[in-house]
Amino acid sequence: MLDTLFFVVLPYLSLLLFFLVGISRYRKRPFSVTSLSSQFLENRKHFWSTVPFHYGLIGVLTIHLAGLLIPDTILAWNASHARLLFLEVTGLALGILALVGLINSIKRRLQLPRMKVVTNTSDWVLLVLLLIQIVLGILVAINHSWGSSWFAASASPWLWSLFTLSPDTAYVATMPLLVKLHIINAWIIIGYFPFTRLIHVLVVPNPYLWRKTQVVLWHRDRKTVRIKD
Amino acid sequence: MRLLTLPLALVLLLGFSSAAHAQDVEQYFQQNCSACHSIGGGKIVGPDLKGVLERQDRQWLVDFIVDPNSKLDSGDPYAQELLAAANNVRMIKLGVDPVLANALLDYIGTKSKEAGAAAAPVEEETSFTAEQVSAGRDYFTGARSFRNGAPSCNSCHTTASIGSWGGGHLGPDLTAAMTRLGGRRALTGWLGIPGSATMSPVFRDHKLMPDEIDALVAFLEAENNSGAADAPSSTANFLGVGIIAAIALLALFGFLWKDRYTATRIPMVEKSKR
Repeated sequence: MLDTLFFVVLPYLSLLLFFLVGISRYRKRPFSVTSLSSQFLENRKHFWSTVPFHYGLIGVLTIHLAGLLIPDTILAWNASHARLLFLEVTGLALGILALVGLINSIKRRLQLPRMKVVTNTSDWVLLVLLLIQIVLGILVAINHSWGSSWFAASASPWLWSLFTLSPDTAYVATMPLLVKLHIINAWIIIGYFPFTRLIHVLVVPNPYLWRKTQVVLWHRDRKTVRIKD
Repeated sequence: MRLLTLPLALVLLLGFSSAAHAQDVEQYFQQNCSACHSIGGGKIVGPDLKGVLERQDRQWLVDFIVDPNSKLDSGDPYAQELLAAANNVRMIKLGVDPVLANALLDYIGTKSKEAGAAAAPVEEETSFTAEQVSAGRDYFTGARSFRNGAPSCNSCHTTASIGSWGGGHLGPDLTAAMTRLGGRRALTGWLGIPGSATMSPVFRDHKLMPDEIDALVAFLEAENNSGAADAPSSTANFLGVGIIAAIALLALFGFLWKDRYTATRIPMVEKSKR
């Protein structure tokens, strides 16, 4: 009963919210689809929160996504023990990096008055959810190894059973508590996603990667526009 | 004519469905029960079910099949006796409803009459070859892959000789698995239809081949007979290595972007003041 609630109803509800609210927000309030960067308010602490957090999380999510999309390739990769250890240690290190970044980010928003002003309740809820999720992820990795292998073998077929509309909770129903909490919190974050600044993930400015470089030319006389100190 | 056709069709349909049902129950037993239970073939992991209805009340058995844990946890003396006889290996909750449980008991009752005297479980005396043990170890670690695409054992399990870094810790340490399950025959049966709720959906579509099972049994028997203790937990060491790798990555970021303020921003600010 609880399994159905957490591993069938919750995922579908979260996906529904993700798409409906996400699309509606993009159509109705397009200028709210942003990360609301606070870099210009403070940059030194910002560097050590945003850089480890983003590189850590993007790496960890990529490994999760690979387990979902190419599980057999992951299992084949892990057939060599050295490769398995490399993947697991990399994943764990990236998770720790994301945790360091997130803790720095929370500290920065708590300690600096001007940062506190631009942080709303929804941001705090999100930061706490992400903190719980990353801590759970690290605990799962170190207590229930080897996640990269059993994710591909057990979690991936469960997720595919959801996507193909034939949910089969048997794959996850007997997972340890930490794993279940990590999964449940993940779906909560996905459902909450479109209400938060996480929405910026969907509008990564990819064209920056291939557009032509722009040269900025200054025509004005700097002396005439200079602000007097 | 038409009036006659409908009842006839119904009778045919019902007749077919009950035949199909009996076949389903037999198939269900083969796929979900036979790894641990025989009917007249002796104890495997759990008891021989021949004549089980003569040993215990039907309603008790239905309740036990539907939810073994609640019976086992209730302190029921017969359930405790069963648990002790099975080396504390609990029967898993298979998701059987009372209707199917009754049908299974009917099937077991019918089969009990057909079966001869319970044969004493025969443990083979033959010993495995060193090649089999080494092949089993390779299957365990994934160095050799299972032909039907099942994930290697070390995804979730380790043993004493595989070590704490060698295998996973999602499932139990398998060093003494053979003793826990109750011998070679039980382990072979188990690997044919892995009975744990976590393994069964994964191995349902990726069955192990007989030679693969033999190799694994050979390897696990060697582990079991080595008498070694379970591999120690790797949690603290793994976390330590992860932290070191994370610090290295942080240092790398610091190095890669060491010019982040001095190369552009500070000169620009200075320039604007000129």
